[in-house]
Amino acid sequence: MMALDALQADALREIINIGVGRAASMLNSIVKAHIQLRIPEIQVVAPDGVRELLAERRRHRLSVVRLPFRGRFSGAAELVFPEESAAKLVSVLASEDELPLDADGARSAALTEVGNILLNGVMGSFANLLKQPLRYAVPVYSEFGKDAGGVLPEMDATTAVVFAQIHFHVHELHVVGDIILVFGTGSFDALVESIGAYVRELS
Amino acid sequence: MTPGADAFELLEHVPTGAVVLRDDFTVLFWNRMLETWTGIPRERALGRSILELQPRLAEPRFRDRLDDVLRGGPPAVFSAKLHGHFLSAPLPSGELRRQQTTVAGIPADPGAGTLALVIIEDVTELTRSVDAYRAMRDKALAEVETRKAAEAELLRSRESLRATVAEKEVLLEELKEKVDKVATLSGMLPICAHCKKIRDDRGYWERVEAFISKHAGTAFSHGICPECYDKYYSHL
Repeated sequence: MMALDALQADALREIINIGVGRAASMLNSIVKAHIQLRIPEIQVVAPDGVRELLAERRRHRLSVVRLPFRGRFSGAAELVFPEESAAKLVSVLASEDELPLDADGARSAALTEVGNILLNGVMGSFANLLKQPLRYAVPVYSEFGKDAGGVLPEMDATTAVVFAQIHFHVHELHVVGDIILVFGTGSFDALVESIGAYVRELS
Repeated sequence: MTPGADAFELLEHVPTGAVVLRDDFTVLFWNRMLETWTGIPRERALGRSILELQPRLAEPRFRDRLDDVLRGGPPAVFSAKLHGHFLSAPLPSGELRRQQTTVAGIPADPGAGTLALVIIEDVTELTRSVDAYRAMRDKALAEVETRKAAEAELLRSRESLRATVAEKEVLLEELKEKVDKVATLSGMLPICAHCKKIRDDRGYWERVEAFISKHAGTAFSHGICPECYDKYYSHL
């Protein structure tokens, strides 16, 4: 697996932040509330590393929106929230009292939309800035128990994962989730090459 | 070449609303479900811009995301929770159907850009069920709160009653003691004709000061009266 140099790592952060910024302005226009999205850190990790990172989150049930993509680089983008935080977020966005997500299919649909906007922003940013058209499947919402697997798509030793923590601030609510981009075999190398070309073009 | 409406006839057999848009928002296909829901017949919809047919979709929160899909971007989901409805489709009661909508890009022939397939599910009944569930839950929670408040009030009253009873019992005990003392002092007291000691109910002779002190709580201070002074100390 190729590694990112310092400039490429900066470019990756920039690409994700541009996508998240775009998603924030779209969310603001939909819910007419001031939503702030912040990505304090981004890490590129091997599958074992991401399992360790996720293990910390597995004290809760998790709500996951997954957007599979194909193209020069293929894989899946995911937005992962502890279920309780996800329910709170949807309640605030929909301006109503809180119910568990499983009590209301419409709520999980709303969370799918939030994930859809966010992941579209990020993936759109990759596709547009790196000039790499991608094909997408329809986003899917799932919930996972504390001990169940399946939060991440199947991975092998050559899979690379971009792990970005995302902070939502809306009204008094502060919710932390994760954006996880899983790049299949060979795809991360293609991504690094594309980012390298993008950096060269900028300089 | 842009496909005609016949190319999408399969979408007549799905239990949802279905519309196909060209990359300039022109309607290429409009299924019968949508004819029923919106009252707009297919002949009137085909060839017209969806933004004209449904002006609400020209708002940036819809149009920008539709644009993204038509430029080859990822599918867009519009939930009933955040948007209510996608197309204006009134029920006989006048209420608008609540809709869950997914818009996915379909690559058209080379040079023809991307088409958008819009699938619209009517989730009005689901929403009603959830609203009914929420109302039921709110009612049950309110009843539980009322019951809790009543129980707390009952507990407070019981504690207050218990304190009052305890206070009365103390007063009653004090009263009883006083009555006993009065009874002791108000009866006939056997007293020594010489030394003036008093015999108690157990047969012991006590000095008059000690007896009265014990039964009436009276304290004594000792002095000498003038007559006794003359009688006992005149020689000094």
